[in-house]
Amino acid sequence: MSTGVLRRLVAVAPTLLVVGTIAFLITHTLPGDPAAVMLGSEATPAQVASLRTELALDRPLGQRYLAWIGELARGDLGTSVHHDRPVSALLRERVVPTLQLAVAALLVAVAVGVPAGILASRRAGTVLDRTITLLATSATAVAGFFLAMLLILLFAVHLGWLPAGGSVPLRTDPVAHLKSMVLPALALGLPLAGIPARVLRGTLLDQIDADHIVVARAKGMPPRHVLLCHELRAALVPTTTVLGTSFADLLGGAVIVETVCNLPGLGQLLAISIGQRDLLVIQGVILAAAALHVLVTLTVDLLVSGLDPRVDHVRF
Amino acid sequence: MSASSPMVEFLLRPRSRSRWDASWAPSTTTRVVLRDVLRSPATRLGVLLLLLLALAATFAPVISSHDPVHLEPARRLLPPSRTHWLGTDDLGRDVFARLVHGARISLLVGLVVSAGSLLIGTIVGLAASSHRGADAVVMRAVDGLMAFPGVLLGIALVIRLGANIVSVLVALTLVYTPLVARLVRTTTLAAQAQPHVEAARALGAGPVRVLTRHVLPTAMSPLLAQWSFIAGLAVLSEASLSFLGASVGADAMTWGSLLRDGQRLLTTAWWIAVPAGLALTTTVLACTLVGDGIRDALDPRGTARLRRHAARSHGRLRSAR
Repeated sequence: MSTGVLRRLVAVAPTLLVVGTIAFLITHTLPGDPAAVMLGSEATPAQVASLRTELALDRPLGQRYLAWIGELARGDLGTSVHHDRPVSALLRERVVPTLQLAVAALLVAVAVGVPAGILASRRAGTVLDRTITLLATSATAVAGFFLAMLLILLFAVHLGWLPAGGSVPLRTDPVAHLKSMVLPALALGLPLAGIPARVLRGTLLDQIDADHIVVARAKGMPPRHVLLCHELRAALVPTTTVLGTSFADLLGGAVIVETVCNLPGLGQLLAISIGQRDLLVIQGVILAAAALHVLVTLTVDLLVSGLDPRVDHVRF
Repeated sequence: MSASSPMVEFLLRPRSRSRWDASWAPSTTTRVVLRDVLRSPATRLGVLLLLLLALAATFAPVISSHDPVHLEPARRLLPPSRTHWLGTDDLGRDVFARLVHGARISLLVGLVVSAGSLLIGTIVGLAASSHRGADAVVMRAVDGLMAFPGVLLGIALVIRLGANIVSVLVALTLVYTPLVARLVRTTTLAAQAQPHVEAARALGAGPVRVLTRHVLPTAMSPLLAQWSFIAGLAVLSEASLSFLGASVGADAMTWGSLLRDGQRLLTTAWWIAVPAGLALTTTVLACTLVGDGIRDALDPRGTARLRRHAARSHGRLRSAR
């Protein structure tokens, strides 16, 4: 393991600390009383006061911060007022469907975006290229939850090919489980596919007259081999990077698409908690999403430095 | 250093000339930029769509004669017709009227959030690029804020601050400020060390003047493009917030709440959700097109390169056949 990789691994800790601090600042320092927010307008002053004691809101800010960081480090995110259960347990139950959906959507984005980008770069300047570019631009403007509704209308209501929502556990019926994932994964993945398509088209066109490509072509290498062995290899790094950076949006989108497709993930938990003004659960959900994003960014950075050894010296 | 030194003469020349023609230079620049931006048909389409949106938002009560909050339970869930262009919802309210009025919130959010995050982000980014100590703190905070998915951070802020329009504007501005701050910091960091900035400082220009007149202009073109992209993102995020019930309020007329109401009734009354979704998509797309247009116009290298590539690969294709 090189020092660059090691340094990158160590850098995760301060980022997570900053993320935790921001969550603390949102809950504890913004104007308004968090206890009053959680209990709603019908709460009596006595109820608010008792919740304030329970949440330790009457202690000084510095003390609260240190206690909060300590609890966070142990994985304790407080107890939900409405579910009357630890937030971390609620998150652990819900995180798997969300992650599944995010990964499935990423696969859809790669499966659609990569061939589209290659095709556009091979036929640059033609009608096909312009159509793909236009579609890629339009795709990023579509809200995943709206696309999910349209897909449900078409494939579930009119054609009846796929279930409109809900989820079957993988253990009881794997086929039904996969079927229930198709529509949400498409709804979330198709808008994302525009990003790798645009990046891939750009990087492939940029190196169309690079020396090593010209040499490869001149020595009679078949175009297919040039593409696979040389051009795609170089385009792999920017494409991986851009997919990694869009993972945060992917998680945010997954949470919303879930509520449309009725998947039992973090999104459903969040939607319920918004209605109940359950601040600690909302805080837990955004912390979980941010932590996942930090870990994915780390993975992407390590992947990229594996794909392109030069990066080790430049980025870290 | 005496005032007649050739170096000082040289440095003073462009400055004094720009002061002399300050009365007409900006208008020419604006005209040239506008012409370049509007050259592409896609950008013209984007601008046209945004103008239509602004008109719809401004003249909402004139465009739709129906009252968007008027309940008429006898006329509930009517399909689109000549009296109700987009039908009615489950409480008998006219969907078209609600859609047109919803444009107001979207327009407000797009304008205020993009302007606010651009302003604050620029100040923060400039502070970071000109002060080493500020840089470390600011960039840590920016990285931390950007680790949160934007929509989720917005939801947490709005719920914490209370669901009203001011919270939504503040929350989304905070979500998009780090993006701008990082962009400004990166682009101006290089400019800080450039000779013209050093020269301005040597001539006695104050820090504020150096930053606004000599450093900030280098970040202007990416910032202008970002302005449009952020407006689009903010409109999309506000719709997501409304959709999840973490926005202006349950009964407010926003595209997100139309989508939320329509989702429950998707199979019986598609006309509630689908038009709102289309309006949202069109608006965000228009912002993207305008942003692309500004970026290409202010970065001629990009368009020229693309055109060259297109020509070359055309030739390649022809020779291959």
